[in-house]
Amino acid sequence: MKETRFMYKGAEVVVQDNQPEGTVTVDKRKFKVSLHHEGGLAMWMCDEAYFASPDLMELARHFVDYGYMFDAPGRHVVRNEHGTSGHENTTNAPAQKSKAHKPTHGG
Amino acid sequence: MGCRKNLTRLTMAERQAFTNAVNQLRADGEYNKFVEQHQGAMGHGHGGPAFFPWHREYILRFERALQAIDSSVNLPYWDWTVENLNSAGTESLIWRNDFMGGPGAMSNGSMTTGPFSDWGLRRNAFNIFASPGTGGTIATRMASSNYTTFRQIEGPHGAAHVWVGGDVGNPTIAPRDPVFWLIHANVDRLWSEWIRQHQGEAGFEPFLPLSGGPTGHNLNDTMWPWNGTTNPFGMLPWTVSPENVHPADLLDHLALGYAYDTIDRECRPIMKARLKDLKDRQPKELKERLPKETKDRLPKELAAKERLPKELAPKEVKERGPKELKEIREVPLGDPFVRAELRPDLSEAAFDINQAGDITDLQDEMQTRQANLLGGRNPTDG
Repeated sequence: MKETRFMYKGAEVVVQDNQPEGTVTVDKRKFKVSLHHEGGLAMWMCDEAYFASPDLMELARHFVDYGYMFDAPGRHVVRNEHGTSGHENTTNAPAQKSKAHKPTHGG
Repeated sequence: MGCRKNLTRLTMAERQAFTNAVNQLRADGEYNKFVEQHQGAMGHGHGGPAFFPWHREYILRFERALQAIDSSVNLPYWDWTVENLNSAGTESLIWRNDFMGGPGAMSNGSMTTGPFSDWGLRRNAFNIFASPGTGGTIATRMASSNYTTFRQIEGPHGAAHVWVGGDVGNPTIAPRDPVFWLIHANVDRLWSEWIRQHQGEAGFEPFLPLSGGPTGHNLNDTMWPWNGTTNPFGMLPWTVSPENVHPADLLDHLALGYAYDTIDRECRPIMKARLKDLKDRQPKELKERLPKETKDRLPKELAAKERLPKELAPKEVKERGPKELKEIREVPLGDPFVRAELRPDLSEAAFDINQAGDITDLQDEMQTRQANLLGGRNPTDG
């Protein structure tokens, strides 16, 4: 596992790259991420963020840029894997345990 | 030419036509096919250069499906950088019961209001008087003429999804919530505006890369699922007529048959027609009563000639001096033969058109003003 630490906009960011899974921690708030391979494009994704990037560091910066939304009061994250829908209420859950998103296409 | 308007400018009838068509598409069993298509294109339409053209083709096909139900429907867009409230700031124009419905319940995220209340959707319990913001980031990306920089708007677009949350906050199922189409109509508008803004600059490319990028992300690559290929994603069963759709085909939104109210003249004639309509509705009494009062202030012999170009004016007009004529010519608004205090305030009426866009509201407003001008009498009473 490769670990990278850096400061971005005053936040401490820790990126743990353990392909095809990973964790991004922003000031102790953890985001589970996963690597998808589709159409020759390897993308890091997180089902909390609605953002994908081939660059895990860019995804990590995205968590900092929009961190205020990820912990907004009344937030509801709907999980979906292989066509089935679940639901998770993240209200007042500052360090929510996130289930990694599994690839649905390609390898 | 269809006109994609800011949702705040939709009339009540337009809001209803849009939501009715969306509900009908779902009842016909066609809506979920679009959801599946988006799910299948997670790596094709996201996280790479094809984000903009892939979604342009995608929402255009959705719009055409709606138009097959009701030809008057066009996709509205949601400018999520602002709050989209009415002019008094007392009501949200998007999160209302005759349009997108409201936020989800605090307890479980269930969205149970509006035309899609029975869809089983979930949303965050967001504040309807707030917005996702991100305008500063978008402005920064728009300022660059480099597509690779510009397409980072995918980041703030994702923030809009996350802000609404629930279904539309999950990329694999996001189109389940009709707000999805409003978000992506706005993304599409931004691409159009960015191209319009920079297209005159030397070396400008509205899309990159020309080649060398991942499959489906180059200017002349065909895009899945419309190309019907099984590689790499697998062809969805309902893709029965393969078509070659390339990013290169999608660079000019006008050529695709729609326009945006922010940058295209095609979206504006209706407003001009309405303004003319309002001017024609000035009460007859007002037109007849005022000339006498105005004529008292004017030399009679000049009244009919004052509009002549200076070089063509008769000698006596020139000799009367420009001062009297100037008073007439420099009247800023409305009919120069109508005293300023008696002119209907059409500038404010035009503002209402832009903000509300509802002709019935404007008609009511004009009648009220006419009644005020006539000392409380209703102009329709004769």
